[in-house]
Amino acid sequence: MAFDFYSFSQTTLSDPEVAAVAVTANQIDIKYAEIAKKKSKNAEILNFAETMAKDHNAVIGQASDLVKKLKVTPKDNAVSQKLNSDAEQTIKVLNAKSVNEFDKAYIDNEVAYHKAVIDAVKNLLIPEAENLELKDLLSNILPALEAHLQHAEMVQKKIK
Amino acid sequence: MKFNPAELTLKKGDTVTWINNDFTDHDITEEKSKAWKSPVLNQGKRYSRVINFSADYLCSIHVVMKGKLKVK
Repeated sequence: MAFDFYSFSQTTLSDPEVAAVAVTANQIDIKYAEIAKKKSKNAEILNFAETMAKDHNAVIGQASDLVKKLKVTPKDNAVSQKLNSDAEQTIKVLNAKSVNEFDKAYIDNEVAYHKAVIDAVKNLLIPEAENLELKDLLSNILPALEAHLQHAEMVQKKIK
Repeated sequence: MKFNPAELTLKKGDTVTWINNDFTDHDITEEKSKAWKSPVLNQGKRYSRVINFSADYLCSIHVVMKGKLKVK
């Protein structure tokens, strides 16, 4: 279900395209979190989903402030489009899960998705970004993504 | 996302101040029995506490983010 970053490892992106991918990746995890908040009854899943929604909204806020400052308009591209099309499939799968199946499906996806996004940020977005403030913003969000992955893996161990 | 320093050695009665330099919200929660907890701290906000006993603590929002206070 997770985004396959490696099919885009040779892609070149402009700064507006990098910004669009970064915002899209965050918007997608917020959507997954909103599904979890509706479907799950598990306290750990709900706490995790709430954190994902807040943190990824905070990242979008940072990105929005920066693009306004730089007078850059995020530009949709093949990577952001693939992120969205993959996410649509994942959303269908998650929405179709029963109450008993949902928690595991959600947290398994969160582990895979955060691994893929961390890879994409490190190996595509940061190298492709030309503007130093954009590079810095992407570098600054990596610790949050890595903490999210650790948190997801911790919850995953508890969900059978 | 880390408490920096992750371990702090101090004397009984010292005041510790945490400052959120991150762009996400955090809090400081005593880990074992939730004996004390800060409010949610937005970016730039700080929380101070007089420490009389050693304690492990964490951010209850990002539960993998942990720290230790060691009272000598």
